[in-house]
Amino acid sequence: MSSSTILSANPRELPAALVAVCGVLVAIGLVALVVGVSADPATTWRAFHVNFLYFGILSQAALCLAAALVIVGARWAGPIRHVAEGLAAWVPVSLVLFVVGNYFGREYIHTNWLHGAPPGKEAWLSFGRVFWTDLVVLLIATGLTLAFLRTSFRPTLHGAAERATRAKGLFESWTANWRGEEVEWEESGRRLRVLAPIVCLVYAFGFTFVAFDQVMSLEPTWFSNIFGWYFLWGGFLSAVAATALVSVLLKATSPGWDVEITRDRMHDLGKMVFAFSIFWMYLFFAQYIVIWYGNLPEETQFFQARLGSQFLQDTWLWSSDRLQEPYVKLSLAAWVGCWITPFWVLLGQRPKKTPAILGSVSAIVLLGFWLERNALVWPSLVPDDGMAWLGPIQLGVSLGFLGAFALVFLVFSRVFPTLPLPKKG
Amino acid sequence: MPQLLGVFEQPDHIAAAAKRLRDRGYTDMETFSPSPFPEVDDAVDEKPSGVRLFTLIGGLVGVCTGYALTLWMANDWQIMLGGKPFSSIPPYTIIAFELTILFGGLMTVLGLFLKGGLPSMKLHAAYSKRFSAEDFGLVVECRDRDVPEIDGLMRAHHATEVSLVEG
Repeated sequence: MSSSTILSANPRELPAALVAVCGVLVAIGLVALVVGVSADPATTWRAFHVNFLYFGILSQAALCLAAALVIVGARWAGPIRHVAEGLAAWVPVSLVLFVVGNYFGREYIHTNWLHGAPPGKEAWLSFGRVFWTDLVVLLIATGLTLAFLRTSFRPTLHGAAERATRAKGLFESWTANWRGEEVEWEESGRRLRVLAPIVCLVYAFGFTFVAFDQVMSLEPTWFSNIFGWYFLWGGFLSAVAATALVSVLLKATSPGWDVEITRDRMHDLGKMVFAFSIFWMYLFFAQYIVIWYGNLPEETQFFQARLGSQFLQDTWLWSSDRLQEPYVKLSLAAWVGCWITPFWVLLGQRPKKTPAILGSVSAIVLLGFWLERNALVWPSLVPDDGMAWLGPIQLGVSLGFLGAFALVFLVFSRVFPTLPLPKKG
Repeated sequence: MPQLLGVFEQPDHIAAAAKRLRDRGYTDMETFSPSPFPEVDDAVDEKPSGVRLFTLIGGLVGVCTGYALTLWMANDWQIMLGGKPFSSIPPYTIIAFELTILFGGLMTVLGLFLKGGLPSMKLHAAYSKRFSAEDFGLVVECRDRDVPEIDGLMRAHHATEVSLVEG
């Protein structure tokens, strides 16, 4: 491949079959949403909230992964950075979904404090404060995301406006005032190195508010300072897993990617999923151990509602009847997906380098985090029914989100070149 | 047996030469490189390093020691804390985790010295200072009759010079 073909935009046709599948999923989601809102609005909006959180945080974290690769000047990743950036194309959609969910579904999502926060928290937990704080954070994050994507892809778009059959106007505006390929690459690299740390800081600090307001406060009497980090690190790990999964799928299906996703690159992606899952477990344990030790009711209520009394016992001597308490099975299944599987399966070198194993483990991690998001949200809102998270409406809404997310990625990666990054910069 | 030294300028050249030699059955090889390159290591020997066994043993000993030490001490000198039983697993997991890392790390260093034959006071006869600056060296031990083949093979892989090692 010559350097000119590597670095220029190659907008391609959308794969019809995949787009049709995504379309069907979105249709299922819309039907579930419409039927659900009239039949059972509480369940519908809560399922909507879970999926808004899952996909929204994942896409923002994917941008952080791309930003992290820029900050450390990673050369190993090659076009993998563009995969992560493609996943971040969902961020603007997520902003709209936040407004829809939080405004129309506020009665059902913020049920536990909307009409009376616990004493002392009235000012903090008011709908205006929560809504506007998070909206401002998401607006800033969306602006930064668009700026990052535009800066990253601009130098590859040279000549795209002339060749493009669609989105001509978009390419023209993104390549306005073109100053020559070399200058553009240099300028892009320089700007990205400024934007990348800001993106990561906004994710770490700004989204801590989102985690506190949208997840932790669903149980308004519970609080944990480390919860923001724990929640956001889960998002980052799911973004790495999504990047690994998409890379492996592209390797199997797309021409050009089979030579780019080498064994060494899969090894590196596998190492990230492996190491980051350990850190996720570490953060979980850091939160758990102090609550276990302190044994204060306002703190233990959170674990009581999710892990049951089993893990709040003095010892961990196993008793199977404690599995029957609500949400215990869900939480343990999430744990198997988020830590047990990636840790034990990806421990060796060979599994990390095998596309089928790396892809399957990444898919399990992604499913694990979807279960984990459910386990964080539902027990606060429906404490007594351990199966409240599962049902036709919940699954329908989730499939709709999945289809829409995949569709946005497909469109973005077909419009913008995803192969590959320059050798320098 | 004679030893043949080839000098290379690029890591991928020496890696390709070493891989080709290994495929031809020459397994007694030594490389000199100014900095570590995984492709050079893999070309000489694909097998993972034996140091990892030391790490595994160290880690397992560490986790067992961590739990054994804490459980034994808590039961030997009993102090009631927060109403928890003396044999509580969660807090001792921290000690077990830390000792896993500590013992695993120390054993890795030990394994590095033992498997690497360190400290080594005598330099290899083929070593030259330029291998710590910019060049790569590949030493192959072989029989007399194989010398021409190896010589040709190294030169075919961009060796800048090939010579017999003295002594």
